[in-house]
Amino acid sequence: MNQVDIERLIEEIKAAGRQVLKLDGQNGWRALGVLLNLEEDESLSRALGMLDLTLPLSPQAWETLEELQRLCHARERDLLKTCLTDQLTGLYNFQHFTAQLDVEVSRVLRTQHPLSVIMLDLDGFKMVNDTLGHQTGNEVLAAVAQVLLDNIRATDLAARYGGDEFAILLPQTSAARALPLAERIRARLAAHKLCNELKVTGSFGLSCFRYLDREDPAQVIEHADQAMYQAKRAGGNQVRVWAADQEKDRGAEVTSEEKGALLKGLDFS
Amino acid sequence: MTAQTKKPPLVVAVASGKGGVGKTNVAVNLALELGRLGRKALVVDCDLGLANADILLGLSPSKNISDLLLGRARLGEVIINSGHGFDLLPASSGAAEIVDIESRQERRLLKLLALVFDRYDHVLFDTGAGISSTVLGFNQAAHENILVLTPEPTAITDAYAFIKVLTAQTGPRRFHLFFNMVQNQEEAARIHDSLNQVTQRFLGLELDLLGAAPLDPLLKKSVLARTPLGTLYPDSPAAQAFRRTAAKIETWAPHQALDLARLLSHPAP
Repeated sequence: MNQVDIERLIEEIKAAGRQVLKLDGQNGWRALGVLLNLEEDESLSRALGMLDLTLPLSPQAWETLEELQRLCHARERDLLKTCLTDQLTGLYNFQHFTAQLDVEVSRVLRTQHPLSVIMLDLDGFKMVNDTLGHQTGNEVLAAVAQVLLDNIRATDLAARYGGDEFAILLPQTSAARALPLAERIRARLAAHKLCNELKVTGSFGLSCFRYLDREDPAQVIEHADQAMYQAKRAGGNQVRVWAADQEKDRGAEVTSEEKGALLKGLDFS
Repeated sequence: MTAQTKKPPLVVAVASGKGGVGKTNVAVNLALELGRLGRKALVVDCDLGLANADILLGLSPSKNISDLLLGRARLGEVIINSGHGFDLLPASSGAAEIVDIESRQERRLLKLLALVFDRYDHVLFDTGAGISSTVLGFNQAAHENILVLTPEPTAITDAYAFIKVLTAQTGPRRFHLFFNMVQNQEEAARIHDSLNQVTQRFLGLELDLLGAAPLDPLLKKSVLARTPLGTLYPDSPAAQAFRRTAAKIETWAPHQALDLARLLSHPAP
């Protein structure tokens, strides 16, 4: 698509009785400026979406329009991605993680599948930054992110929670099932040679929210965080599970004895 | 009927441990059949955030329970005629602003509801799935508890978990089991018998077998038509089962005052 195409398109739109407010013919998506009878701050894809299909434009002009529309959508996708991800690591950012946590908590209340959260803080990361510089520090963070992405499942969500702290959301996963996963990530991270043969370990905290819980869902993060600090205080490079999550199979939970009695004699074939 | 001779309404909570057992369909069709028996019924959609009673009824209410709780609407504006012989207090569908209400709001809602209770013979709480504090709160406030379950192991163990948790919180209660999607009455009787043995043994609790609706393809058709089964296919086997069940519920009398005071002692989540 070239300058001439866009000029012609604009001429044709004007000829069709529509106003073209602001123009920038330099490149595709900006060229759209704000077309038609729209206010300046309205988005381009909206302007395009409102284009009347009955406009008497030439086939070439329509082609140009469609191309502009494609560019516009691609740009919006990029913008959305930028909003949701952490630039440095490519993981989801804190805001998106928090929003997804809310969604998953609602899902727990509906489906009764447990939701686990892993918090990870790198051990001695400050030292890396201080002795090897921030550039190396950034490379380490990006490498850690890759280890996380390589080891979580498709339905899990890894995010950079802030600084050198990471968080993983594990829908439909009990603490018992999340623990081996956290262990695996811990081991892979410890064995992983980052940039310049540098090795970094992490402290992991694990907590689980289940529909039987009567606690505030927001506490699942708090608990995972506290478990993570326990791991850190105990020397790092280990996974700790929030204490109450280990106790949860007692209390009002259905015991295996009760479960056995319930299902005994019932033929579900 | 004058205000002097009017009996206080019977408040019945319809719950299920597991989601997807057809709880809302049961509540809606029981209310409809109670209407046919000349009783005035109100269905309160307590499934905040994931409401669907309005959807099953083909309604698009402009105000819902969230507006009431957030002070944006008065009770008279929120309660609507379902068009099927009973009234509905709809909840918001998909709105994340209120999923689990605080016990303070829950008390306020129940106090507000108490103001209109006199207009009804039966008030049915369609409570959400699971064992969140909101669900338990509404079930605790009711005179009688109907528990909907299907002949699946998970539905049975979840129903037991529900009985256990609610009993642990409020002491022994009357639970009425309603089996949905059963092959035949014998299947319901068999599961009731098995579940009853376990609750007697572990919880010292006797369960009532309230009724059973067969797996009825017409029910799905009625859902897709957004019209209750009892209106669309009044002679279908499931509709007849709801009718027999409603006739039983009609004879229930409040054996205690609606215990708002007990809600005040409802432990905070």
